[in-house]
Amino acid sequence: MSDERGQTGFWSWLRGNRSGAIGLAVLAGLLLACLGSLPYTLGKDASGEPRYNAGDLAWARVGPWWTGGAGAARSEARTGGTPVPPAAGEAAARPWFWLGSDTLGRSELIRCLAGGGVSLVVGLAAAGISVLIGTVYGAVSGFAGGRVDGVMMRVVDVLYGLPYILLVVLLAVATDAVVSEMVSRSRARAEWVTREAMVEVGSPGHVATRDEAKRAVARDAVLRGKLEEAALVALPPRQISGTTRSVIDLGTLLVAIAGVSWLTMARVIRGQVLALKNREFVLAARAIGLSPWRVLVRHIAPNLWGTVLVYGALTVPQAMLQEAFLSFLGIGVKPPMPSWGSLAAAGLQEINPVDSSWWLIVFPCVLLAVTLLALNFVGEGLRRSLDPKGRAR
Amino acid sequence: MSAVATQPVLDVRNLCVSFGATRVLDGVSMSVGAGEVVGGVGESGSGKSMTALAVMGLLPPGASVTGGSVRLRAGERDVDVVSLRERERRGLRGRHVAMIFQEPMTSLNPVFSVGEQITEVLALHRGLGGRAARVEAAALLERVGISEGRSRLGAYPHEFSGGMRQRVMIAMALAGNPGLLLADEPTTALDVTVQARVLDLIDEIRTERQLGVMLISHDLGLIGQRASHVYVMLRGRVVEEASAGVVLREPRHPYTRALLASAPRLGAKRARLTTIGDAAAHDRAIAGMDSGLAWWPGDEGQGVLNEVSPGHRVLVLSGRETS
Repeated sequence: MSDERGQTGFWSWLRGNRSGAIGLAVLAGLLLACLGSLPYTLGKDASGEPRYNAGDLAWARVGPWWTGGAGAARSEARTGGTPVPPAAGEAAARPWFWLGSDTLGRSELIRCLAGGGVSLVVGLAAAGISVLIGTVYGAVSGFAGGRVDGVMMRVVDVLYGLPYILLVVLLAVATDAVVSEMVSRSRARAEWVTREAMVEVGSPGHVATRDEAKRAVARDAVLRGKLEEAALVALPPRQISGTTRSVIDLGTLLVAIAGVSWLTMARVIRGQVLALKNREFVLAARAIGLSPWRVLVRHIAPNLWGTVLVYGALTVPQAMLQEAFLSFLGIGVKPPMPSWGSLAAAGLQEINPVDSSWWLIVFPCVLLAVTLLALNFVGEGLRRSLDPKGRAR
Repeated sequence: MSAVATQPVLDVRNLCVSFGATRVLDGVSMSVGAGEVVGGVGESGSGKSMTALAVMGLLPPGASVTGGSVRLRAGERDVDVVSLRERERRGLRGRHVAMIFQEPMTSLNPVFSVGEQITEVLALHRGLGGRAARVEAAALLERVGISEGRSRLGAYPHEFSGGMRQRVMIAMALAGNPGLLLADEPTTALDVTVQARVLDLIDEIRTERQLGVMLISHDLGLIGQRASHVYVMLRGRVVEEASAGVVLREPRHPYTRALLASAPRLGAKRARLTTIGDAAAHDRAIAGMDSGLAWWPGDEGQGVLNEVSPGHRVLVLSGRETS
């Protein structure tokens, strides 16, 4: 286990671990750029459109800066010459087109930054949640032992056996249904109509049954029209902003990714706890009169730190990759909200033999690859430095 | 010596412990008086550690007490550990009975400083916190022979040698101010010189605090030196008990003789060390001709402890006891 604490340990770790240090630096730079620019990229421009979604068709398919905005001319030819063509070299002067623009004339740079923010936040948060669930679940399972352990681990085995894409799709569909009902309230209105009809159809002082009311509504178009109109007044559809919708979508994605990636963590932690449980200091801790719960929290948990840190660092790239994969398939982050995965998916459609806007796929992919590589370097560096056998003293 | 004037701190009567259908302790009785060192000796698997764990109420999963009683003096009260609920037993541990273990290397938590580990006991059992706890912890460290206790509080277990760690364990055990200390092979993992010093320390503290000590070891020589009364155990039974001098000078049970014979002696010229196996077979033959008295756990019939002289009991076949 690691005995180094505080800054000196951290800095000496950095000095002795070049790939880890590079990974950490790259990661810090990317995080700073993507998250720091989020207020700008998610903010609204003069036209009231969020900047990541604001495009000018006249500037569609502009190439990155070193191509001198070559694509713009072609775009002008395609759109029939109505928009004012940008002057040659002007693209290079507009900083948000350094990485070119997409088919709708949206800046690829801004979309990559915003998409990076989304990808990183989803990856980090999902990894955080999965580490939390996995650690607690595995620790409890390993510490309880016996039958409890058996049941808890069989649950993990079963979840492992299910194809996770299926789980994610099911979750996405279910959330979608719940959210759309919440917005349109169509079911609530139908129920309201039936209940009103029960009073309308029945004689005074006597309420009709549900079936009678339903039949009456189906038969009598006038009654139906009247009631439905009244229902619209009583239960109008709710308004939901695009931001709220995106937040709900992201939340679903987060839960879905975290829900499947805690399994490995739980197994690893369980194994660690099983090993620690039989160490003599645990018996000694019980011998001084600590309750089992306090033994777990005070004496076993601190010994898990290294493992949690390492697997946490290795879970982040996994979660990001899954986010990218799901977004690439169109299940994850919904357009126009960008993420590196969905940007790559959109970019793929622009690759064709006639007119390829290659920058639309290359930049998000390169960014994703660099981030994953950096994260793996950091995780691997942590693993090596925390493994007592691999540490040179 | 063995005559205990006052009521004992620990009184184990006919204790039986089983792992499912397998009996690991079969009617073990032993008692420890205040300020007395009692030795438990036997080979591994003889049940000496199991007895200590049963007293602590910390039997491994699967094992359970199936009979007998463990009476422990808890301050003014006298409680039966076996019949207590787990919560009440937890209150006894550390406060009235403490235990130190064989491996000082692994019995301290590697991620906490020794100060934190001692103050944890002080907070739990004596309600001490903050500065008071640190001062008391430093005093305890000094008491167990770690100089400059104050500055050592922040040290981590890996910065200490084995003997020092065992001293820290003893400090932790003393922190709750218990009346009984169970020492399960406390010096087996230590050098011989360190061994003697650690045992001297336990001895000093015993006299100072009138602490009852149960010293468990496989080394009959060591037990003979340190304990006033000795219990020899084999396969979950006490085969012989007597004062230390008697056990060493006139052992009656062949197993005790075998244990004594197998101890290597300085200067003795032998090609091979005697092992318990052949010594036991040899001695059993002699014992059979000699008295025909001794009963071995696992033999046919029933064994009972027979008092051959005051305070000296030997396990014999039921019905063959003499007085």
